Order: sequence, then structure tokens, then C-alpha cells
Amino acid sequence: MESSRKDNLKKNTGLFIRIVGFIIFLIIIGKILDFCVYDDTELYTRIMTHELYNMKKNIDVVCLGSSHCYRSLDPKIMDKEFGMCSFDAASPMQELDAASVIVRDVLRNNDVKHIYIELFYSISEKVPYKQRNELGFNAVIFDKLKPSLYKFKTMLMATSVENYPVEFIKCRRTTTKILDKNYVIPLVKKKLTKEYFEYDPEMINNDNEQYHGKGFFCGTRTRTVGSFFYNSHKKSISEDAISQDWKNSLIEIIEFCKNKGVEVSLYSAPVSDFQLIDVGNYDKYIEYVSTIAAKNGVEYTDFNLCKKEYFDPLKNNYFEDEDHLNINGAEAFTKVFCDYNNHKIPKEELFYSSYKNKLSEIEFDVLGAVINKEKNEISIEPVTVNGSWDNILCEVEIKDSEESRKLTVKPGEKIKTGDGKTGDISVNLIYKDTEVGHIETTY
Amino acid sequence: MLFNSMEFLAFFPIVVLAFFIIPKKVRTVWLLLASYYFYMSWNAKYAILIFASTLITYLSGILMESCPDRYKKAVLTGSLLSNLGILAVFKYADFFLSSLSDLLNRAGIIVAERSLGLILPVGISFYTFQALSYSIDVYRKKIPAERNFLKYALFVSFFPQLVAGPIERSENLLTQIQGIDQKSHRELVDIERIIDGLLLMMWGFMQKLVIADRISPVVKHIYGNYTDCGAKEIIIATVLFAFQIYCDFGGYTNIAIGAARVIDIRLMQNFRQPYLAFSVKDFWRRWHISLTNWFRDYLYIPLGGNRKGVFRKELNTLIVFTVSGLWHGASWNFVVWGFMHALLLILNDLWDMYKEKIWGVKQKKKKTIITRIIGAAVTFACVDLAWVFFAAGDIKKAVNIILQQFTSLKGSIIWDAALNHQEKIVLIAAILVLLAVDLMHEMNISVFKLVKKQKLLIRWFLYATLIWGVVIFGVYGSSAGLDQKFIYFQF
Repeated sequence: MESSRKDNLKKNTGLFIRIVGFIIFLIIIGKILDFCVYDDTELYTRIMTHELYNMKKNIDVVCLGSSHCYRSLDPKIMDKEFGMCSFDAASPMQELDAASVIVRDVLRNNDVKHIYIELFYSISEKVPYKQRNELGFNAVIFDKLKPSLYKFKTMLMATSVENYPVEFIKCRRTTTKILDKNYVIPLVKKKLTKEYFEYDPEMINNDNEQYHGKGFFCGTRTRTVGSFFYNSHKKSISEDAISQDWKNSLIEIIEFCKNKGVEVSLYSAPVSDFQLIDVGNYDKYIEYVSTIAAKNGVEYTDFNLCKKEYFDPLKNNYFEDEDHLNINGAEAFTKVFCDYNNHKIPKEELFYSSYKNKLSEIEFDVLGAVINKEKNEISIEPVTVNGSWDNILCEVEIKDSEESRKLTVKPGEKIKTGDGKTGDISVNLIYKDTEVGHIETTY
Repeated sequence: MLFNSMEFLAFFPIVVLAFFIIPKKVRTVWLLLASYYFYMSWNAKYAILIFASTLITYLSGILMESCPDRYKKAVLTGSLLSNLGILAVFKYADFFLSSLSDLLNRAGIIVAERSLGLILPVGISFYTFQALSYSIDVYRKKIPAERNFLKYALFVSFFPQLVAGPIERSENLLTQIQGIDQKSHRELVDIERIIDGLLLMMWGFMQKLVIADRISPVVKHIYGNYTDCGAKEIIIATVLFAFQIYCDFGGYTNIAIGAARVIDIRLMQNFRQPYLAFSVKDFWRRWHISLTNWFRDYLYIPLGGNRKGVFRKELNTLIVFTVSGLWHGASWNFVVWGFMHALLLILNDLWDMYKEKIWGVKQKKKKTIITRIIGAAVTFACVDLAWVFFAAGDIKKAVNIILQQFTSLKGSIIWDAALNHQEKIVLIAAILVLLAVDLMHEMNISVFKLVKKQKLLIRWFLYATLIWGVVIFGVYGSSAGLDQKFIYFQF
């Protein structure tokens, strides 16, 4: 009896070890497959999260949000101005469910005093989490955060069930690329380098953009007034389009932080007026977020309302594109951000009361144009501050595989391009016989 | 709930783990609840139909045993008519109505097409036949009537084989269900058997997700644009469809058999290397074996089988296979498909019968490799030609596609549009693996047993290759973009 019980125990233990052993074996094979096909060699979040988890100093101030955060706030300047250790724990198009996971990770390992959450209007209008039918940008941050039950639960709620395989299994995302030796061999060679294993930021740096440490990643290009463009108009803000999930996540983060004794502030980083004018009713977004902030006892500051005397990104060519500040812009903005949060500048002095008020004080300017392509026609639609299209002409050069032609058209006038054709388009915006803008793009 | 769904991935482990640990006396109830939950995840209200079928056949079984012999036939007839009546209304009513109105219109009597607009309940053809086989077996006194309603209800609704077979017999499945409560926990939790079951399920998933669902868009694309296709593309699509339907249905069956195996229920084999058949007759001993056997035992033999002369035998074959075609779908193209197989079988029979008489060729019991290869190739070609009626959806289109195979000299299009280079490699490799496994099984070498004899690390590597192969190369989830139901669900 005793020996049969011992035999059973031995048998069951052996069985248990075999099962666990096989599961570990499966995971190892999976990791090998991930290594061979999952390309994270140029992923900003890989470098950022590595630094985040290996900070020797305590992180006192954390900034969350999208690329508008990590490209506009320089933690080194913040450290100096706040006298504390700061970190940009943001990521491309970071949505608030991902932000809530980062908050918990950071608070678990650090005694955080203050969290700044950047709120870009476009992210508030994303689809409800369970209706996401693509992997999306959350993957680039979820992939790199440490495993936790909260992260697992968030990921389950972060997308539709059909997306679970690609969400949880990285090597599933590239499926048959595993058979493409022209993809796999160079990738494996790139990963079997000292730079990759040591998380060398040089892997994500290029001529135009650099990683400066503590999550700050910024570019050096400049987009001047007159050269901003989009290929389609932005949608105006609608409260109906603002996601309930976004709102719930925001409130959840605020409450979580408050319970942990961490101060929370909400803000919106500067984006080009070219974009906000095209949106048309940006004040609606400011009102909506201000209401949420007031209800939850936190401050919301929109730095798009900054007065020119303190921060004039257009005049100083502080933008590198329609959305993001360049390195010069980030330095200037971080200083203003810190001065405000250090109470060195009163709110009424720094900000306009509304975006509409801000615009009313700007002289007429042509900021750029929307190059609108529909079927086989293009139209050039300038975006101006406080002015109409009167006295504006567009000198256009179109090049495709068959022909190149130059023409001068009025704003909004349709230019035929031919069915299904693609090519290059160059536009000079002329206001009262003076060139005020130049755009080069493709169609 | 599909087998290849996240819901099943959660459902199955829960059902199995609970089954292993709950007290013996509640095992039947647990599996019954799980089976009904599985079925109702499709459409809850149609559970009434399966319940009705269960109740009718259960009561008729008991009645047949207790009533005088002279009433047994009436009871059986009642059971058959009511079950077939349900099947007829839900599956065939619209077909008959539209065929009737079409016929009348052609005869000059103009009538508006009417339809009942009923949705076909999933699995109705399968569970109806399974319940009927029980009724008939009780009538024939092959088995005693089951008195335990819960066990009988589980026999009809057992979730692994409920919606697409195999169509089980009470001697096999009901007997095992009767013994479910007697097994000890130690007997149930037999790790080797569980591994066997899980491996078979993974193999089934490989067939379905890696092969069948990868082929589906190619066939849809080419058959949908057949007028623009050359003969080469249509032949490729037709050959691929043969593998699609084999892997879809065979894959489903393997998942079903594997799932049942995990909980120590043995279901019957439903496919036996069908494309290695050396004749059409042999093909039907290998393809959808449970249905073939059902028709043999409950239609062909009662009609007289081969005991009433050659003419009657061939007539019975014609009737059985035409009905079989109709069983597969309420549409004339399926009837034509069944009819074609009947003709092929009749030709096969006549050839066998008169070979020796006309050419003096003796029937060899053991075939040579050459004759087997030629036989298999010819059989595949005949069966594949018939599959066109299955895949095309209607007779006119099927005929046009067949003609296009033999006449079109158009330049090649587009199977590249449906599959890129790497996808083609995966597909071809998977089909070659499938054929290799089938060939080994044909030579009585069980691949699964062979794998289990290997050293631990080699076994683990092979298991991991199968699992990761399905995970990476399977067509499922958000990347699929296809309707991934099993083909045989429409029956």
C-alpha cells in the first residue's frame, strides 16, 4: 500500500515534470521563432522600456502619451527645472489602456511624485477597444512591457478575440515571412550584434532623429510656414466620436494615481496650427477634456493656447512636421512647460482663453495646403490663418511615369491626373505674387 | 462554436478538466450540458429540434421494446417519419418549393416562387441519421432500448461529433456512454491516451487551418472568375478543391475523434486515405465511411442490396447515391454529384464483372504497385471531376467549368493573386506531408505510433513542429479574412 502510494507519487511527479518541461520547450521554440522573424531592431519602445526598467535613480516624474510627448519633452531639462528625475514613458500613438499598464509598472518600481498625461485629440477618437480589428500601435508597447496579470487582462480587453493570436504570439504576425531567407537571415544577423544585445540607441538613430535618453526621441528637420501639407482633410471634433473607452481609461488612471498619492496633470502638446485650423473646431476638444479634468479634480493645460511671447513655434520653425516639434522646439517647449508647472508664469498670462481667441490675434498667413486626391483629380486647398483663398494661386508641377507638366491653378480647382496614376507633385503657394509656401509630395 | 475558434480553445479545456475531476455520477450530465451549450452557441432556439429528435427516438425505442411485435413497425415508421419530416421541412422544403415552381413555370403555369425562409440547423443531417440508426437498431433487436434518457440524449448530442459526424452507431458510442460512470479517475486521466487525442486534434487543425483554409480563397477566386481562366488554372483549382474538402472534412473528423479520445470515448474512423483508393468502389470504403455504412445498412440492404440480381443491384446503387447526393445539399448540383458517383460505381461494377469474361483477365486479389498507382490516378481524376459539382454551386456553372478545363487556351491568371510565393510553398509542403502520412498509414505504418517510439527530445521537437506549424501557418483569426466554417456544416 505504502509502496504503491510512493509509486503513484513518483509517477505523478514524473508526469508533472514532463508536462512542465514540454511547455518550457514549446516556449523556447517560440522565442527562437520570435527572434528569427519579429523585427524590433528599430523599435523606439525597445530602447525606452529597457532604460525605464533599468534606471538606477528613482523616477519622480513620468510623462505618458503619444509621440507628441516623447518628441516634445526633454527629461534632462525637466530634471534641471524640477530638481527631480523625469522620464518620458510614452510610445507611438499610445492609447490610454496601454498607458494604464505603464503607470502600474512605473509605480511598482519607483516612488513617483507626479504624472503628466499627454492627450492628443486624435487618440480620443479611436475605435472602442474591443472593436479594434488590427493590432495597432499598442503592440509596440505591450510587446516590451514586463509580464503582469494586469497587462494580460488589459491585453484581453484591448482588441477583438480574432486578434488574440497576433497580439500574444509575435511570430504569428509575419507568418510566411519565416520562409523568406532574404528577410530572416539579415534580421538574425542584425540581432546577433553587440548593439542589439546592449540596447544601443544607435540602432534607432538616423540622420534626422536621435534618442537622447530617458525616453526622449526627437528630430532635427524643420517644416517652415507654408510648407505644411496633408493628403486629406482632418475631421472636425465631435463629442459623439470621442471614445467612451478612452474616457474610462483616463478616469481610471487618475483614480489609481490619486489612490497611490501621485499627482496627475493632463496636457496637450503643441501641434501645428496648420492641423488645428484644418480640424476647424479645436475648442470643442479643449472644452470636453477640461470638463473631465474638472470633474476628476485634476488640471488640464493645452499648450496650443500658448501666447506668442512665450512660445511661438511657427515663427521659430519649431516643427519638424505637421504633428511634432523638432529638437529646438522641444527645448523651448520643455522650458515653458516647466516654467508653467513650477508656477513661474501664471495661467492667464501664458495662455489664451480659447483657440479661437489665439487665432484672432494672428495675422493672415498661408500655412500650407491640403493636396486632395479623389479618383483621377487633385485639388490644392491652402490652409490659412484669418484669410480666404483670395489672391492665392498655386503653381503646380506634376510628374508621372509618362509626362511632366506645369500649370497655375486657383485653390480648389481640379487637376486631372489620369485613372490610377501616381507620381510626384510640387506646389508653390503664391500670395499676391509672392511665394509663401512650397510643398513637395507624391500622389 | 467552431473547433477553430477562441471560444472552443477556452471551452474544451474547461469541459475536459471538469470531466476529469467531477464525481462519476455527474459525468453524463456534465457532458450533456457541455454538448447542448456547444450546440446552442450556434443558435440557441434550434436546440429544440435536437431535443425533439432525441425525445421521439428515445420514446419510440422504449415503446418498440414494450409493445407487441405487430405494432413495432408502426412505431418505427412514426419515428422515421417524424425525424425525416423535421429534416425535410428545415432542409428541403425551400428546395422542393423552388424546384416545383420552376417546373410549373417551364410548363407554362406561372407561379410565384415561395419559400419558408428557414435557416438550416447546423448538424441536422448528422444527428437525425444517428438517432434514426438507433431506432432501426432497436427495431431489429440489435441493441436494447436505452432507458436512461440522459445517456441517450448524450448519445445524440455528443459535442465532438454532433455537427459534422462521424455518424455513430449506438453499439459503439451509446455503449461507451453507458460505461462512462464506471471508469475510475485514474483510468480517465491516462496521459498517453490524452496525448494521442491531443495529437490527433492538432493534426486535424493542421489539415483544416494550414491546408483547407489556405486553398479556399484560391478555389473561390478561380471558380468565381472561371471565364477569365485558362484550363491550367481551372485544373489546379479543381485538384486543390479535392484537398480542400478532404482536409476540411477529414480535419474536422480528426479533431472530433481526438477530442473524444481525450475523454476516453472512441469514435469510428471516417476517412481512410481516400485519395489512395484504386477504384471508385474502394473510394467509398474510405470516404465518409460512417455515411457510406449508414446508407448501406439502412437503405441499400433493405432495398435488396446485391441479392436480387445485377439490374436491381445497380438500381439500388443509383437510388442510394442519388439520395446521398441530396443528403449533402438541398440543391440539384449535389443530386448530380451523387448521380455521377452512382454511374461511376455501376461502371466499376460492370467492369469488374465482365473483365474476365470479355478479355480473360483474372481478378487478382493483390494488386501490383503499378496497377494501384494507375487505379489511384484514374479514381482521383473521376472523383475530382465529380467534385466540380460540389464546388461550383450550380449545375450550369459546373458544366461550364468542366468544359473550360478541356477547351480553354486562355493565358494564365491569378492564382498568384490569392497566394504569394511563400504561401504556395507552405501549401505544397503541407500537402506533401499529408500525402506522406497517408501513404504510411496505407502501408500500415502508424505515424503517431512511430513518433511515440522516438526519444523524448525528438518527440518533443516533432510535437512542437506540429503545434508551431499550425500556430504560425494556420489561416485563422484576424489575418484570415475568410469564412472559415467547415464545408460539411452546410449539410
